[in-house]
Amino acid sequence: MGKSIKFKMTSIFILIFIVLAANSMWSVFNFNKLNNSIEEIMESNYASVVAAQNMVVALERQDSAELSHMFADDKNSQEIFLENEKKFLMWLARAEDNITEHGEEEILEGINNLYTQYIERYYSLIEIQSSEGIEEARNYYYNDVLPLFEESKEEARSLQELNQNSMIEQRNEAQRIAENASYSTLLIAFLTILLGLILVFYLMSKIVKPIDNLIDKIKKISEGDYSQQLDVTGDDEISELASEFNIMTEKLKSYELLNVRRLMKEKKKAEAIVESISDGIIVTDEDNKILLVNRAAEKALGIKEKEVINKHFLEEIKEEEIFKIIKSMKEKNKINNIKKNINITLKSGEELKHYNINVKPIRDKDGTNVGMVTLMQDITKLKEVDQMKSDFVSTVSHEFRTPLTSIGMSAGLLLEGISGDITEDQKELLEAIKEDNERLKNLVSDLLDLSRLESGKIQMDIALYDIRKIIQHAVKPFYRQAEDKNTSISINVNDNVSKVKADFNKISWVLTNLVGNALRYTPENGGKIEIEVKETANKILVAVKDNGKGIPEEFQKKIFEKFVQVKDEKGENTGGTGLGLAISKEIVNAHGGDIWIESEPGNGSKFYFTLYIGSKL
Amino acid sequence: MKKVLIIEDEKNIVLPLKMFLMKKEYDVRVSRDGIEGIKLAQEYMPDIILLDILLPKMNGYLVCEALKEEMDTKNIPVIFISAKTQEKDIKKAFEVGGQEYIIKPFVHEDIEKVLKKYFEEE
Repeated sequence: MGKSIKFKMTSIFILIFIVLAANSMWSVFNFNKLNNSIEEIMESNYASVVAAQNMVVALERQDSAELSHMFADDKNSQEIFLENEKKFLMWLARAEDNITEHGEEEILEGINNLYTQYIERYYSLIEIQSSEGIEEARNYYYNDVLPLFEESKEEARSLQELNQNSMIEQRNEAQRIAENASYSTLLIAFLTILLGLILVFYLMSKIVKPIDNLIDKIKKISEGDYSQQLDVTGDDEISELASEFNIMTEKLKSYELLNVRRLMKEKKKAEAIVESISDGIIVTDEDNKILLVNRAAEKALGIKEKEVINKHFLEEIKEEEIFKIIKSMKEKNKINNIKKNINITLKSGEELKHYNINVKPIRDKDGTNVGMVTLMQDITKLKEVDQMKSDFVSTVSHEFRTPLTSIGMSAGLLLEGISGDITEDQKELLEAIKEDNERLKNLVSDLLDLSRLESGKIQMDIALYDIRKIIQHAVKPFYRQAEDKNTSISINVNDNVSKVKADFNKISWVLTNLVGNALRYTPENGGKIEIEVKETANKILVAVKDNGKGIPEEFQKKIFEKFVQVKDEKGENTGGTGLGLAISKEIVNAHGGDIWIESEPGNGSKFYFTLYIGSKL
Repeated sequence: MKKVLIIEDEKNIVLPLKMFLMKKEYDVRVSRDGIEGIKLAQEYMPDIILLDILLPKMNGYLVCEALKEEMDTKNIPVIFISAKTQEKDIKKAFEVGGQEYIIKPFVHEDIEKVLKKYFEEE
């Protein structure tokens, strides 16, 4: 497969390298050329110039030696002449070895001829001087020797000139070469850069353009448009990528189709489930717009899903109480103690329907709230059952009252001997009847109270009271009984304690129950019951402590449930109804308070309950 | 001897109640239904009436109302004796002119206490 981008890039880079290398070689070639021309000057012309100069020097010395021979008759002159002849010949030979210029050979030949004649005439001069006298010698010198000397010198000088001119010429040549080299190198460099740029642009458009195209299409795919296809032209990597891309989009498309089908199936399933749920469901988004209303909610609220979808909750469902919960659930992060379910009553035609409203936030992965699910549980049936239960309890307790009266009264009359004397055995039996009659009486009235409290039928008659007054009122009936058992009852309340919000009779009932229990479980002789009150920021804590045998842990949890009784030491019931604490709990809770127990077996029990302090008036 | 009229249909209540009151030396008459009760009250003119609410023929409230409308009987104290414990029932008893309300189950001491209260005031 032609990996042509790779190939193209490689070729382009190789091309650029070749051009660069050529440029470098061209530069090197030019440097060499320059170097050679300098070398040439040095070798060819400079040596000739030196030789010519030395030849002139040697000639002049020979001329001086001649003159001194002629006029001073110097014996050394001949020696000097010979010595310089040798020198002249040496330099001439050097010049002859270094013929470089056109016409140089002829000049040197001329010098050689002239010098040969000059030497011959020198010897003739010496002969003339010694044979014909100084006068003749002088004439000969001036007429024959001196012109030859001058001519030779002239020739040597012209040799020097020739070479010097050549040097200048060569220098000019070198300058020209250097200039040319500079220009050509610059030109090649410029061309290289230009070529490089063109190639880079070409490559860029060849590679980047398809990539840009690809990016565009991938963006579209990420937006969910899987129909994107790229053009496949050529057989380079880009087109390979393009065809792979096209395969990928095809796969994505079919995958999406599959997913959509699966999702649709799941959605239909979920919708069917939601629709079939008998509790009403309303889903709202973070802006409280309605996203979903199921059939049960449609029926309960008298709306149609189609008409309310995407509209604000309050606009269509005018139940502010429900909306309040939805709103407060959103702010739940800040405040924790909000009501998250309430009971509401809606009119459905003629009948009233009761619903328990429960709101649950929908959170995404990060835990941010993206909406709310409001569940409307139809509790009409439960309410009805509850009503039936209270009616039942009420009827039963009512029906019990008449027989309880006759049994109690009859036993009482018999015991008092009103209808004649009775034996000790009879008395004992009658007392048992009376005692259990009493218990039944209490049970019936407690059951009725509890049933009413549970159904919320008993309204608390809340007012501000001094807790001490309630305590004293509740404890008063127990003093005699306590004295009989040799048990102390102490009340420990601060003088400036705040007033509490309470229903006097109900809280008094709770205290009566707690103190009565305490008294029942404290030992004969040495029993101790303490009632303490502590005040916190907004609540009052009432504690009833005894030093009885305490309550085993397994009982502590369920002691506030109905019909739970702790048996006494003998394993017998102690005469309570098993409803006292359950009623106490209902009463305290109806006041918004809590009731709990702390106890260690053997160490007595402490019952606590809280009440709200009234705002100071 | 003080005269007590019991208007009550439950014989098991009437029996010990009548026995107790007679032992305490009251003159006791008993009526088993509302209409007969009113009639008996007008004839007998008791010093006090013990009146149940759930009665045959006419309920205790109506009986009380009727008695309080008649000049002869309107000043006779009416003591309701009933198993009804709801506040509204008790309230109604006072609205129709009842003087006392004793909730069943009661014991003979409860009755004695109330009777003493009315007879000692005189």
